[in-house]
Amino acid sequence: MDGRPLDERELIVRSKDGDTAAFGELVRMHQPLALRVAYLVVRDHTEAADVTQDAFIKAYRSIRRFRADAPLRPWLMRIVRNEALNRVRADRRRRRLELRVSGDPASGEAAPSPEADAMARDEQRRLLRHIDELPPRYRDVIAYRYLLGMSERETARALGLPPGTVKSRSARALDRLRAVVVEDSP
Amino acid sequence: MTATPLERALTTLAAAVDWPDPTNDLAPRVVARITAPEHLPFRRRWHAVRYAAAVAAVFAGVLVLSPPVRDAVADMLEAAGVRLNLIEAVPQLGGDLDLGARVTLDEAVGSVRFALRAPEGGELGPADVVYRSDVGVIAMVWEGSPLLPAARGSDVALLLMQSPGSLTWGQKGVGPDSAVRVVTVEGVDGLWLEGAPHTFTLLDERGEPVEETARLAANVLLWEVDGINYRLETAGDLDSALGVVNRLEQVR
Repeated sequence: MDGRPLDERELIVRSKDGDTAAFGELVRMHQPLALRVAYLVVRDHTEAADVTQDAFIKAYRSIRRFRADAPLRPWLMRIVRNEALNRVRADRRRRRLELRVSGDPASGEAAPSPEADAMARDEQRRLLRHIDELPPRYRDVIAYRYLLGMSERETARALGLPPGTVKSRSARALDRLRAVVVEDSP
Repeated sequence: MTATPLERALTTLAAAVDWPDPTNDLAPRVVARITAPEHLPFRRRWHAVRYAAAVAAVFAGVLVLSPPVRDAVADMLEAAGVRLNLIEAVPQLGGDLDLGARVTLDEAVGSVRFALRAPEGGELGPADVVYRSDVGVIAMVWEGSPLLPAARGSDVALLLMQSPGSLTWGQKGVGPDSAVRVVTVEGVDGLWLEGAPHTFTLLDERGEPVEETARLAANVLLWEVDGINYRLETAGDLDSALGVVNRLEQVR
């Protein structure tokens, strides 16, 4: 590749032509989100990295069939999710792990005190647990829309659902979540 | 639209989840693996195999007749970075399905008197291989992919066959593990054969039985529109088959 950074479209075109270095750049662009998509399913950092790696290899094998004018991100994320689901299905004895809140400060906002920070973190843990306890059809749309920050349209493509279904499920999922959060409030 | 307190809490939560380390650079490992020959895309793999076959053909006499020279040649090739893989046959997608002679899509369009159709848009893309049988049946073949799983025991994920003629649904001859349903396809009655690999008996225009056997260990959708018979074999379900049908457009 020459010195000028290539945009995603150019990288896709080159990858379709077998340019592995160009595909490597696409991996770098999309791996942070891909790791999160995998983690939402497998719940383990090391396994999420393995799954993501395997998914990118499958994506490379199929990229010549990918329409260059279509959005790449949801296509890749769907492959990652499928790979992660296959991994989980293949291991029936697997113990279901919980999604965890990080030990680092929760957000960019400065915590007013250690006590307030601990309380905020406890609330976040409970909210994450409530999301995790939703039926999968609701959990997925909440996770993709809010935890992964994907638009409705991207979520629809990444989950293989019609956009209208994502919209209605999001609304129902928020209603359910709101109800359990209120019930769980101290 | 203003975000509700719950939506704001969810957005904040996104930053607090214990996500995998985003700086863990997977690209070098992915690139190393896709550079290995077994991970090249089908078309490139095919070129690689053909190249290996050509190299093998050039040296075949030497290889067979003189083992010491063969070893020397192998060393020389290895030093030059060429790994010699001897192969028995060049794989060809759908080549074992008895679909006829391989043709280009243009050749297929030019060889039939009806408007050939293919799925447009979506994630499918153009067929990987096209065949034409002796009696003018055109078969389009798609290789399996992460989003389009291949049928059991095959590299093929989707097979679309088109031919002029008319078939009347007649006798069913499916086994206990197969199911046959009449379904609406493009506004007409079609048949969906699902389950175990099956044989299905139809009646042709003269009432003669025609045996219908799945080429893949997959599900089959059969329908007829404007005197053209369509047959779609897929490892996917009926919805995915109808999704393909909905995208059928005349080729050029």
